[in-house]
Amino acid sequence: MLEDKLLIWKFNRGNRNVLRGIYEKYKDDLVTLAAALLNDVSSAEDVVHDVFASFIESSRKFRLTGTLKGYLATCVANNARNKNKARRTHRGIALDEASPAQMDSNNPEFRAIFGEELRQLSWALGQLPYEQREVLLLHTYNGMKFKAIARQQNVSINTVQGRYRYALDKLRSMLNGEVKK
Amino acid sequence: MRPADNINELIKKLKLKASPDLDKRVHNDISRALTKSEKTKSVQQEPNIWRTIMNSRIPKLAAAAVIIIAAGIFLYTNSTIVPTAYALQDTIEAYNSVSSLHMGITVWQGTRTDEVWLECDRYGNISRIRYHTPNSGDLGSVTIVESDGKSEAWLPRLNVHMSGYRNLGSVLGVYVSQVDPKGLVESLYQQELLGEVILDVNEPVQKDKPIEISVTYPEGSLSENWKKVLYIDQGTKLVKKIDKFEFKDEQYQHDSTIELLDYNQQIDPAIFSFEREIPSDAIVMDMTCVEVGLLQGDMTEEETATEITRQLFEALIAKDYIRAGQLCIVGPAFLTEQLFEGVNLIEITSIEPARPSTDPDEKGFTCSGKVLFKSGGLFYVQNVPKVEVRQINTASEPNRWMIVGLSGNVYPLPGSVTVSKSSVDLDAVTYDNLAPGEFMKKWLVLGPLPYPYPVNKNVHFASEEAEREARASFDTDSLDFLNFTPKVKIDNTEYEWAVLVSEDNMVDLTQLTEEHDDRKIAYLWAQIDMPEDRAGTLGIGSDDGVKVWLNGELVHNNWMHRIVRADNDRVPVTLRKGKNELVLKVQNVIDPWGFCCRLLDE
Repeated sequence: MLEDKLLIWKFNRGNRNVLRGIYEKYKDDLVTLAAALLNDVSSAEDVVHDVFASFIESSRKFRLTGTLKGYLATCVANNARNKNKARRTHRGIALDEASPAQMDSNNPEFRAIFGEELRQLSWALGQLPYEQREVLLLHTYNGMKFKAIARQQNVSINTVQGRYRYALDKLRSMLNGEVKK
Repeated sequence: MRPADNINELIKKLKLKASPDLDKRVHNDISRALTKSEKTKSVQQEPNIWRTIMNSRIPKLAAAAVIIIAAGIFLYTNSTIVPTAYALQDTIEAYNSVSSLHMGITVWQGTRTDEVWLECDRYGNISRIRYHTPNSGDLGSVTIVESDGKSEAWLPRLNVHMSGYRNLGSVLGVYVSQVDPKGLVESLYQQELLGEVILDVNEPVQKDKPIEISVTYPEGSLSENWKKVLYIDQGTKLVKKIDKFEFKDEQYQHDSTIELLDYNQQIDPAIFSFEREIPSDAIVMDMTCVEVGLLQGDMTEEETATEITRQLFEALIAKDYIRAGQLCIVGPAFLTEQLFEGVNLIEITSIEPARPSTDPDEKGFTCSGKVLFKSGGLFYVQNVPKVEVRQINTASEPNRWMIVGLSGNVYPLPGSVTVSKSSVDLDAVTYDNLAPGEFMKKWLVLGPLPYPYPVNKNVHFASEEAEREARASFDTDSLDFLNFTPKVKIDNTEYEWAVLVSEDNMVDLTQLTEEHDDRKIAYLWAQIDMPEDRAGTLGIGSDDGVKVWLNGELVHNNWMHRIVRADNDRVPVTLRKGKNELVLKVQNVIDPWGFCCRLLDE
């Protein structure tokens, strides 16, 4: 946390080389988050690239109020949500409205993203409504507090906690069903 | 385990690596930004007016003259009148050159000074540390060393050497994480940017005097009652001393002082090792696999703090010292048991919701609660007003919390003792032919009396100063122990004896007063009328120290902290035929206060 604040302090003072340190520190986590949200590595990398492009431009204006990791995760989530919406408009379907192909957990796409071990999880995450998936990943994977997620999604904390609970229940049900097959 | 049973753990396993293509795209963007930034900087450094002036021939000479004069004035003022203003960044940068540091940390109202040795890497970050505290309550002195990724603790009083700690943030009540001066100054700088602190810099003209930075906290903020003063050496720009105060009772009261004694002095490498200190017969304990604290999981921070407090109470009620040790001191069960010896919790009465700590250096929560407590056969309410809970950072699990401080006091459950000031004479407390085994439950009592050598209330009871004053108060007596008088004068104050009758065998002296100041003394007087001379043993239990006079002669003297148990001490005595005057002095140091006394047929 303190290290992050120092990075931001140097960043605010115009030291843009520090951006390389920030990127190296968080790139893998951010790409993972975006890929889990979008179920697509290529789009995920675009999202992370866009987030850093904006971040680079924000030198001197930037003020860190929480954690840097939380801030970047929020940016990735916002950007991914926009991308998801854009896709829905473009294709007439959103990722959370799963196609028959996506319903099949043996689809090699899931294996390709996170490997065989996490194939089932990756598939099941893809079946969750986007908002629930977002809450679950931001809280569990990125360690964000429900309060912060509520601010980011512009909903009440109860809604966020409800989404989290539903997401867990659904995942549990899907993964148990998968095991029984 | 089915996958669904551990979804959170599975999600944490998700791991992708950014592709070289993404790396290239982002680094190219950064390079472009850097180039643009350099250009912008150089453009900004060229004032437009320069071009305007120089485009005109006539003003050239005039401009040159103005520049020369201005430069002269600048050089003059810069070198002789206006000193360079100090900024906190100077200190942050100065810490980059620190390779080692020796510090003294004074706490407990100046009664305990811990010592710390630090070695830093080339970036000024701590690489090795030794923290020594001469008195950590009942544990005695504690020394902690972290070197080459290995963490160890050495407790000479108990002859215990513990190794394999994964986290030295807070073990055995020692807060290693609070001694990083570089981190502290960087944090202050950040807090000022965020408006969380108010810094007032006083830079004296005299170079031999330190720069003083007063740190206060905005009104309405959690730490608004705290203040720190940092003293910065003008030459090196390094911190020499930090005083910390809390605003209590209408004034700032000193809380602690950190003195940063020696910078960049060669430290003997052996200081970061216990090799030379630990005897071969020391008990060695491996703490590698010890679980630390409580995992936050889906709880909020407040819920976690309340829950860990509940779990500690429950562990103490169940006498599960392994779990209690994990939650609060990160030590083995026998150490925890020793720390909580005599803490006989029966049930939880209440636990209040946690609230954020106000101390600016404690990023944690304070919880409070009440538990039913049994000591010496009597029940008390143990009020625990301050359970300090903090998040600790372990590499593998960042969301673990533990208890780093506990304080409490005991309230009696009233009713077992009655005190009366009417008919105060020895006949009321005379035992005729006292039967062996019969507890003496009626006494004349003088007290509660204050210590003749008062101790600062804020000083920890186990500190050297408190122990010294408590011992002096125990040793000092100014009564006639043979000839009873209903009123006595001690230190120019007149006190009256009263008749005390206890329903229980254990006489609860905490019921003598509603004040909850632990440090008190009481004298108890009784008369034993024997039909003939008799040799026997007095069985005496006491909490805490006890002295016994029989017929004016001191026959027993035992100064210690303990809980009352029947026959803690067995004192051989000879009771003579007729009336025998028996006087006890019972001193309280902390928590319950009481005694029991009987004649044993031995």
